[in-house]
Amino acid sequence: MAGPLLDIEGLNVDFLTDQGWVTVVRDVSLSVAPGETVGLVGESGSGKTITSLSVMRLVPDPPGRITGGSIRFDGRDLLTLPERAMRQVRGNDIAMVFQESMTSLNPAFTIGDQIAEAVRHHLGLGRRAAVDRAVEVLDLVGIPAPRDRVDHYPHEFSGGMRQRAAIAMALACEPRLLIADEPTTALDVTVQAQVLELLRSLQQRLGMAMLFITHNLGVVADVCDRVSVMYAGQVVEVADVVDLFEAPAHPYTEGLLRSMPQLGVRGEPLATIPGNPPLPWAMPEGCRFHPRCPYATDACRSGAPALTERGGGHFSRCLRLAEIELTGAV
Amino acid sequence: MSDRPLLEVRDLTVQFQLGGGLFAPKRTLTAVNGVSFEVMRGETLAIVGESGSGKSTIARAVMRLLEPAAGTVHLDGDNLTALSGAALRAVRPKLQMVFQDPYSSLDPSKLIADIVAEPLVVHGRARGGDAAALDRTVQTLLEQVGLGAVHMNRYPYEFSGGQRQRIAIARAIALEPKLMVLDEAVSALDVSTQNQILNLLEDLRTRTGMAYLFISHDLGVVQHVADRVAITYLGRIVETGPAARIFGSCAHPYTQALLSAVPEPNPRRQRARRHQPLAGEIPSPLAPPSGCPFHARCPHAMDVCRREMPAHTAVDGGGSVACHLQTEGPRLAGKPLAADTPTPP
Amino acid sequence: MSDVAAAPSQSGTVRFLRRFRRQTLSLWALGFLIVLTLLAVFAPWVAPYDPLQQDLDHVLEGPSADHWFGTDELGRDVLSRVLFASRVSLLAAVQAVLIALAIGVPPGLVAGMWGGWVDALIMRATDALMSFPPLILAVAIIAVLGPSLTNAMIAVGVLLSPTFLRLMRATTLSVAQETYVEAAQSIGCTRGWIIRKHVLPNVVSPLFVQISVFAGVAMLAEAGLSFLGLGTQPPESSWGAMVGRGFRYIAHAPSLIVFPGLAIAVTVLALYVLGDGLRDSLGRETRQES
Repeated sequence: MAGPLLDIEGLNVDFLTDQGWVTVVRDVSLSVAPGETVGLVGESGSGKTITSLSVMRLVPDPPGRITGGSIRFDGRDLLTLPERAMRQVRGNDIAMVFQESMTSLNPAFTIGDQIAEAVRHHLGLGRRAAVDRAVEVLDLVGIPAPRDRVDHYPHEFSGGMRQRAAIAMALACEPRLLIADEPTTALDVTVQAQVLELLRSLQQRLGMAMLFITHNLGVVADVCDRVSVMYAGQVVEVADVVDLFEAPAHPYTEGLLRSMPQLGVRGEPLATIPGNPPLPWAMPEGCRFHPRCPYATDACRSGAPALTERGGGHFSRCLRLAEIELTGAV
Repeated sequence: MSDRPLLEVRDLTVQFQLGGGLFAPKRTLTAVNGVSFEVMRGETLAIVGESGSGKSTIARAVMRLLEPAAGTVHLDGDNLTALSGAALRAVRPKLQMVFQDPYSSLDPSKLIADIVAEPLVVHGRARGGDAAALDRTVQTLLEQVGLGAVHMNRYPYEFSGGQRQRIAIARAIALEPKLMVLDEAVSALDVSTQNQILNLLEDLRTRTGMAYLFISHDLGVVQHVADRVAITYLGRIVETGPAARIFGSCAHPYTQALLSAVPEPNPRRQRARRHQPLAGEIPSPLAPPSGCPFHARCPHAMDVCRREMPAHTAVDGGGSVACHLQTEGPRLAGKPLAADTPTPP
Repeated sequence: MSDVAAAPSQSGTVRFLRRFRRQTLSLWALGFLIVLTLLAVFAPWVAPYDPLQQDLDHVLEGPSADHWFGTDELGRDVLSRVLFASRVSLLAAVQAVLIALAIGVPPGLVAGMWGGWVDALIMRATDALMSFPPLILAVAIIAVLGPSLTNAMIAVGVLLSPTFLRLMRATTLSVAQETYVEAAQSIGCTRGWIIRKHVLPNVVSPLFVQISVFAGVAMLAEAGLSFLGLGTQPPESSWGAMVGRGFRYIAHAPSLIVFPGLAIAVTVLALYVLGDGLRDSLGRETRQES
């Protein structure tokens, strides 16, 4: 296998809050190979969105600041790139799709104009060719009658169609990496299924890599090849998707899997992870998950575990990995 | 008395007037269209639907936060639709509601103690103004939802989403309602917190015997909590039945599509069962299709579906379904021919 | 569930004060306004001379050790007159703002809460009021009621009230759509209770910002009207009236208009700065997650 397309090493991101500077992303490492789909899973506040925004260098500053680490894309460190060169990377090499498609579409311009502008800017196409390209990508994402729809405004599209248009815009310049941040969370299940199917088929056809950020394990099971699980600003487990579901190696992952309501037994209480995720300015000593972990011992309260490989590209940040038996969702 | 339903909704229709400006003609949006259902004492009825299905509008009409255009809502013998003003306020203790967004459902300027005490105060149940007794009651309520006295003199902003939803539940159970309307009460929460709240709700139901009207879009959650399920589409109920029947052998093509669209939490099985997802989206309620509201997206649509609205017919295993396949279409062994029942997740 | 924030609970007021403390410029403005108010209240004890005492041997003199701000055309001490005039000017601003609040807030609340035709009626009436040229409206009101400070301030209050009304309507409208208002309704609260307990406490803070700014506007309007002779009548004097009278001697004794003029400028500026500071400190609470 060739080297990774995206390689994040030891990323640290700090935010200024009412409680002073706090580290919201700590020592996060993550890689995406060409053509691969990597899931980044976590609950709200886990740092998954900040990690993805860091790749695009779109962390709001202030209050945010990338304080350490490197983000290599195709060998180049994006964090040291001048802003001009970074602008070329955004959209051209790496594109992003957000949860609320309205945030990436400008309500004042037609869908066609917006896609064409991106294409002209990045690929240097002429006006006519750019509009043709817009029609082509709208067709690609399954928007019916794309010739007519290029002249429509975002508000004339339904929620699912708008998300398709946002994906079309992201794909227009044939990026090598697509970052999708909860792209289906705001959609209904039947429309979610359509968009997931679309992303999967597009990826196969275009051979691009995808970083898929979500809190929904069902979606992960559907689209991802490999998964990184984040908790309280750290990556706690990295695994192949089948391994992650069938043989999780971190108590938090196990807790998440057991919490899927589908796996509950009627008449019995649903499995839960007790307590709440810690606040960024009140991170527990030792392992950050220990206050909520059913397997925690004194060692977990004092020693911070490192992300260690248990074999076969399966990493876990747990001190008791060798001693405990975790069950997956089979 | 006890075999009569606690809540009986008949032919409920809710309409909204849109536009009506100088240049825009008034348009009528029918959000809920002739919906009937009942909730028995101590039972959980889940109303399931996607956005635009009218499920939240049903909740608000039952709560009389909206005026229905037609239909009746009977709760425990009282015709809610005929009541107003003081008479309506007098029956409010019997039905309470928990809202979707725990961030906007608590007044940011109030202490938790005052939020939870408010229903008792407005209904004159604050025991003759005895502040200490009221405090004790509030503390007991907070303890019932897993919080305690330490949380009383705090403000909502200090709590996480799950904790806020606990506070909202404490407020809702203060008047010991017989029916609680839960409008997407857990969908804004993270998975781990969501289950804590679901367990709490189940626990409260067994302890107090109240009934739940559980509005949700999440079939995974519904499968776990509901006794009976009503599936809504474009302002109508298209299928109802016991949860076991709906999740085991549903009869409406839309229910089938919903069930198969929920990804299974196992990569091998999810990838094996993948198939072509349902095309299209819910049509605009401003321009509802003729005939069956689902016909444009239905893989089994027949001519009659485009012309006539199907009536509800009874289904083996309980409940009913509004689908022409039940009466007109080809059938095999009592089931519609084309309907391949998906494996239950 | 014991993991609430470790910091002690703070009411909205305490959190507001904590943020406001960081606004250095606004603190200075507030300090200035407090000192000014104290000087106005204790003017009879603070002022070096009787403001009405004439001294025809020393007329139109510039600043000196005896008369820090100089003397006017009748030999009266300008410093003492500025101090006494501050009582009139400040009171006038307060009057105008109170009148504007009284006229603007209740209908704004009603319009935002009830909506429908009530809202339409109130807003059209407001539009009609606002379509008059303001100065002409003020002069018309004074023409009917007669020139006096109170009547001038009634005119200013009427002119300012539509802004309060609109602000109140807009904030009420957004608060009325919050789920906690719906929740209160579902509990069985009456509409009066909901307005008193849930709407009012959540709409007053933006009002304070506007009050501060409008006190400045009212003060300027009072100055303008008094300058034209439509406000304060002699022998009473406000800063605006002083500028108006001093204007006649601008060539001989510019100090006659410089000092009351400066008083107006600095006070209005302080009120605006205070308004900015209030606005910045009254930000809504953000969510706790992420």
